[in-house]
Amino acid sequence: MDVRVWFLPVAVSFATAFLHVVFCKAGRHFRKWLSLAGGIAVAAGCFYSMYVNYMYLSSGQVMSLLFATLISTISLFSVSYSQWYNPEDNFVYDSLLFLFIGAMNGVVLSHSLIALYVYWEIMAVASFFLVLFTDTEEARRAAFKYIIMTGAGSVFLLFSILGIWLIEENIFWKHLFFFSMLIGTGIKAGIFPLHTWLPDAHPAAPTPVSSMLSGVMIKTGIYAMIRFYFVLFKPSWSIGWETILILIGVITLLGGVFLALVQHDIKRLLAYHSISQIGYIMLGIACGTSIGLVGALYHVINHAIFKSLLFLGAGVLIKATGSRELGNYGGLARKLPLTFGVMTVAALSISGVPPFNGFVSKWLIYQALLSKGGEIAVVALAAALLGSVLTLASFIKVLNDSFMGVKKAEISKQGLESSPFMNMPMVLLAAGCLLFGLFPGVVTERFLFPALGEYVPLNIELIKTASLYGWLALAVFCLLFIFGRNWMRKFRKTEPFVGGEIFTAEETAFDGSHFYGTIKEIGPIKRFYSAESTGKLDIYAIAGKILPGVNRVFHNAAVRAVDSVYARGSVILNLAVKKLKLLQNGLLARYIVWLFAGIIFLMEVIRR
Amino acid sequence: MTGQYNLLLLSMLVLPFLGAFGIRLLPGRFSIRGGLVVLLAQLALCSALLKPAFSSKFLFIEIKGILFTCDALSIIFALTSVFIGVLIYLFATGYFVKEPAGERQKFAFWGLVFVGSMMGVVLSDNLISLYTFWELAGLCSWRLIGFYRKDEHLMKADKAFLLTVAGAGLMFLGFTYIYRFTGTLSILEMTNKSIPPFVFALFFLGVLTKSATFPFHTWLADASVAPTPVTAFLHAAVLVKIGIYGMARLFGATLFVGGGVMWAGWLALFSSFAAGIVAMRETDIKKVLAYSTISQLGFMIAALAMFNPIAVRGILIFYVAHALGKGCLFLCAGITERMFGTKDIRAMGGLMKKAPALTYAFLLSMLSVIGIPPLPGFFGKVEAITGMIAGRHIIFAFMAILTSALTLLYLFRLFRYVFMGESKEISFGNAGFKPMNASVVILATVSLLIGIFLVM
Repeated sequence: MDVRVWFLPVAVSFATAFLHVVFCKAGRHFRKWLSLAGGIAVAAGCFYSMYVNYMYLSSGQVMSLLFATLISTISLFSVSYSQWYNPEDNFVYDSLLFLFIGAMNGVVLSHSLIALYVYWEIMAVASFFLVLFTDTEEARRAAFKYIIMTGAGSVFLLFSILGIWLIEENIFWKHLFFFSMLIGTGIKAGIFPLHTWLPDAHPAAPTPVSSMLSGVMIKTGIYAMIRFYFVLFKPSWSIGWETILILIGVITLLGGVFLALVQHDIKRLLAYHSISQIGYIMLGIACGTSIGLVGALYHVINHAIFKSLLFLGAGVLIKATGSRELGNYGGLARKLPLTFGVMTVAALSISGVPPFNGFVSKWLIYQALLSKGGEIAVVALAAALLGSVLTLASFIKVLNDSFMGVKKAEISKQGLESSPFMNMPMVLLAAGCLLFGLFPGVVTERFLFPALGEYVPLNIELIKTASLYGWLALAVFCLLFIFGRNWMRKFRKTEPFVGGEIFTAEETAFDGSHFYGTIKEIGPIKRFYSAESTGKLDIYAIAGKILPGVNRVFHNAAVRAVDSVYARGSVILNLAVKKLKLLQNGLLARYIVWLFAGIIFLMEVIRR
Repeated sequence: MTGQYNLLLLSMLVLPFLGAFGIRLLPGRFSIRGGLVVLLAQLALCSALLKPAFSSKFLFIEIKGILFTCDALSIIFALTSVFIGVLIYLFATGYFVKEPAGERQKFAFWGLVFVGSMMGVVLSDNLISLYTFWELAGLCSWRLIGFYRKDEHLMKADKAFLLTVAGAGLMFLGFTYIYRFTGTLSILEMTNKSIPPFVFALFFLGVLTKSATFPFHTWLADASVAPTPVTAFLHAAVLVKIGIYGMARLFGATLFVGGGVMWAGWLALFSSFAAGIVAMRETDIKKVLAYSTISQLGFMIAALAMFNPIAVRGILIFYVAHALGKGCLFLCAGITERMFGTKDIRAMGGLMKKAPALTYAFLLSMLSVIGIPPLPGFFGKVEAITGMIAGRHIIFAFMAILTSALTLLYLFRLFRYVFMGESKEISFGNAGFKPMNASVVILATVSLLIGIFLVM
């Protein structure tokens, strides 16, 4: 297919970024429309490639386009949203945003691994500056941590890319490169022990950027992992790795969700949920079967939809109250009905409640684990179910703290939920949550199966069953709504009995920071939380602790020791020179003696 | 036609020396500008020779039986040095604005001789003339490191000079052995001949001392007492790159080493790694950059010691990238030093908002040295590491990638201290910021253009 059309999204994004620099003085109004036009053009480019050249593409190209379409669509929404969110006029932000979008599209559209790496690094640098953008102390810390960790990931990825042509030669190297690939992509995707940049960078970034980081950027890691694992290494080879991948998936899933439960900063909470959802995707990939791959890809799409929606909703809350603390929200449902609605939809999606999209993809992943068999798969299935429940629990807390209960923050309705730039993306994403849940057959057959190549599953009934559950759930919801309304009205409302004491509303309300506080007290989990809070799980913090010692060792060995050798040497040299000086005492007799000695020596040499 | 080029070659060799003595006739105030004009002429000469050198014509001149030739390798090194020399002189017109005329004249003179000796090294075909110019460069560095003639500075200059001379002496011994094993001193004639490892070791010692590699690296960090244009000369344009050139010239495609010399690669790599770690704890901006240079030099030598053509090609690209990038970083460091009045990075901060042009230049150069695409440093490093992997040195390649990633750590740390954070008090009191800023911006832009050219 024509390369110019293929790289249209990348070229258009970079051109838009460039135009923002050129028209930096043109004013907010002009550049607002420039951004939107750029975003729409990028998305349109992807859809154009997807529909026009659909028949001629290989399966790998379809997968690239699938990711590119996802990235550009979510980016369009974020770009539109940031027109509302960032009212100040700053061309650097817009320019960086489009550089970031172009690089992400480049990563997934690249034909060669080196090109992938090039875009990968551009993406890292652009997102570094976006995380840094607010330039607070927190942002600086988070951005620095992010660039260091992602740089470490790049090392492993580059090593794997450069060495991958050797994998057929030697089984040891194959394992080595696979491991290296796993770390390189895993840091970007946020798998568990390597995730620690994520909960710091997501809150620090401006909200539209966090929605892109969490919604699509970490998916580029998943994309690279899928392409490497399924195309270059082949799951049929990875006999030992399958178990390890499943274990990684389980740990990521449970670790993320347990940490999310106790967070009270809304963006940090959402970041931990991203990690947990990456765990589901990992489980799908780890199965190495076609149904698992379908589930993983489907979950990638779904997670992009609902997680960016959650972040955009959180942005509205932050904008309204000026705080990220769940404890400062409360009773906002009446003030922000739209946000409440879409956040509820997204929360139900992420928890895997039918008929929303999260249910379908999780269903597929469960099916993949079931068909996989074996003890480890059963354990993973149990963990996945538990994770799903805990996710729901966590989001009940979010919805309760922010929208129900006592109103704690005075907010002005001025300008909130009125701008179409911010309304449209949220409503469209919420509609996406429902549609992708109700019509999984269309999505899988039209988009996912062409992307799979040799991994097309034979058993399509599973997906149909999922959609059946979805419709059933929708019917139940409708019935409940129709009949339940009258039934609900029969309840009698009264004041709670408090034994005579009079409490204020604030005293009886749950606080976001205490909602699941007791979970920290449960036996083995307690140690996990204390380890997390003291930074024992954070490889970045551990490295930061080790580094000064390593520094000192190397400084002593490579600088001080060498210097002292030179100093010693110069002292010895001086002594030797002083000894030699004794010969030059200025007495003629001494010189004559030396002269004769020399002549005799020379003559002796010549004589022989 | 060829005769014309040979005339150009001759003028390329002698112009810096003639210019150096010529500018002594100028009044001291104009000497740096005079040097700038000479170097611009030299740049024009090099550019004129670029095409014939790449089209594999045999360009040579013979002076008293000693051959001087010019091929693609020579012209890359010559052109890069002269280009950076031009920008350093441009920078120096601003930097030395308050110095007395005599000091400016000295800088202009010795700088030109320095560039001239580099020309001599890269054009020499004879090992003896190579050695002569090699030592001449060492002499210039001695005069320039101790530029202000303070006792402490002189000590450091002596250290640099003695170490490099000692190394060069051993290298000279190596040259005599090369003569013994190949029967010639002309590099052209010794193509495809083989020498035993111990001769390589002798030569390698000269490279290690000149290119500041463990355990002979400490002089380079100490040399940061010199004024900024001088350190930029040492690190980016001339001195330490001579070792890289010698290595690339003699062992890139000419001589073969009979026997394994993997230890050389590991030694250089260790040097690179250790310097990278040490750079992370330094708080003097010029020392951080000096250790960074040591680290990058170690990387280059390690890749060259693989004797793999892909790695050599990568190192040529990386050499250009590093020269441009590190030159720019040092010049930026000079500007920040002027602004804050100190070299301590903890006393700096918040330049990002106050000096956007400087930030742009520093950032691009830094990314290029780290090896972030699409800047040229990346392509150099990738080729070099591909060469290592092609030679089946897998673990070595991994360590090399890790080492080059350390660059990211300490340069971003530097960036964080100097450009991010709270704004500190700065003084723009001194005149001369305009040419200084112009030179760093030009260097960074050229880096970017080369990178984009390599992508296309």
